[in-house]
Amino acid sequence: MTCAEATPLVELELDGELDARSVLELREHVARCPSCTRQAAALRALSEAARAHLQRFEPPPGFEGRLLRRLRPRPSRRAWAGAAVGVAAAAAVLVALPRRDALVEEAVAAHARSLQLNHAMDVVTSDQHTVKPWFEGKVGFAVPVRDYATEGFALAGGRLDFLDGRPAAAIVYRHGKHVLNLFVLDAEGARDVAPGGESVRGFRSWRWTSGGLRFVLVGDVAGPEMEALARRMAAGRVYNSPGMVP
Amino acid sequence: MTSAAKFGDFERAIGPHMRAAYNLARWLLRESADAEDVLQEAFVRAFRYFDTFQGERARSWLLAIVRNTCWSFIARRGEQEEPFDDERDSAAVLPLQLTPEPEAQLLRADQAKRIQEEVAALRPEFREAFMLRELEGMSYKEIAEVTAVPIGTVMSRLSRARRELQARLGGAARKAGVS
Repeated sequence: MTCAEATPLVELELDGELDARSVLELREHVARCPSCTRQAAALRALSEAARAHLQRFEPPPGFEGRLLRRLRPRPSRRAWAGAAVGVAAAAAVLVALPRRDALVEEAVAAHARSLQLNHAMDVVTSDQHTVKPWFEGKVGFAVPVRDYATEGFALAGGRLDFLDGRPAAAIVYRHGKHVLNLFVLDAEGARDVAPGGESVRGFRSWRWTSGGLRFVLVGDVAGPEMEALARRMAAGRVYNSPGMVP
Repeated sequence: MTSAAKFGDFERAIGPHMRAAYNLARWLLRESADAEDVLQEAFVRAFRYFDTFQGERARSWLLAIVRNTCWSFIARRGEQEEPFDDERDSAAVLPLQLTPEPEAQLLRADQAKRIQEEVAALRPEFREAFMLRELEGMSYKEIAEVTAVPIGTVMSRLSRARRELQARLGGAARKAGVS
């Protein structure tokens, strides 16, 4: 073995990637070659220095739990409601009410994250007939997708997000430089709720329930415009069952 | 599979590698706040694509998603350097073309301690290959999976990272062996 042949193998041996036969041949060469001996020792020293001194960053306390909690599905509410047919609607409302603010909080956080990471969309298109089928099989319900370009809110695309521990459809609209997210979640059995708005951490949020779907609209567009859009969206009738979405 | 069952499988497969995921994100992004945001995004993606996970090499699978999410974030943040071209930029230092360097020397203790800052200063392509090898103890094949390049490219990146580090840590005692 020549030095030129040995040189690349020195690193392979150091990394444990050299087959046994070549290891023997390499060691034979290195044993009688001062130059390759020095090179092997220098590379080993670098590797040892790396293992001894390179920082292993540790996550802050509770970090893993926080990440997983966001993904964990909640116990099924549907099973509950199904078990007591007579009180299904009441049960859904009872369970849904205390969660409302938490859901808006989550929606606002998801909206902010989509802006921050500039990852608003998985599917980018202004065509509602492209966005709607894109969600099929991803969220477990048919997602009503409409364009409001004539009102100044152009459909820009869609994204799969997670809210309330479940997959949620995020429909993305653009209004000038503003980006709005309309989150849609399954709320089968829940009674309709008229739009209600609030401000959360600098964003405007409107939520309503319609046709067994829960909607949360989040953006930073001026109040009256947001309200008009939310009411316009809520007025369009939707049905939460595959094949029946207009 | 119910969503609860899916989550259980996900937690069992991925949970043991969350610290490695955090470490990788910090090495690539530097800022802890960025790392947390990006990991949140990466785990949502991992959970979404978990159905495609084959049950092998959970660490490589997860770190590949984390790494891709980090790189997308870096690109969007607009601080990407000129794209690295393995063919062009490594041509001069491919291991096979190296001649033995008689001046190669052991690191002194004070030099070894500077290795953190010197690795942090490497090009991201070299930095990730080097830290995955030395900190995570990954094989070339695993590094290739995480960084989505052929094994030969992993080898040349590692080799070049080491030569740059030797040059920087060796200081004035060495001739400049790396451009």
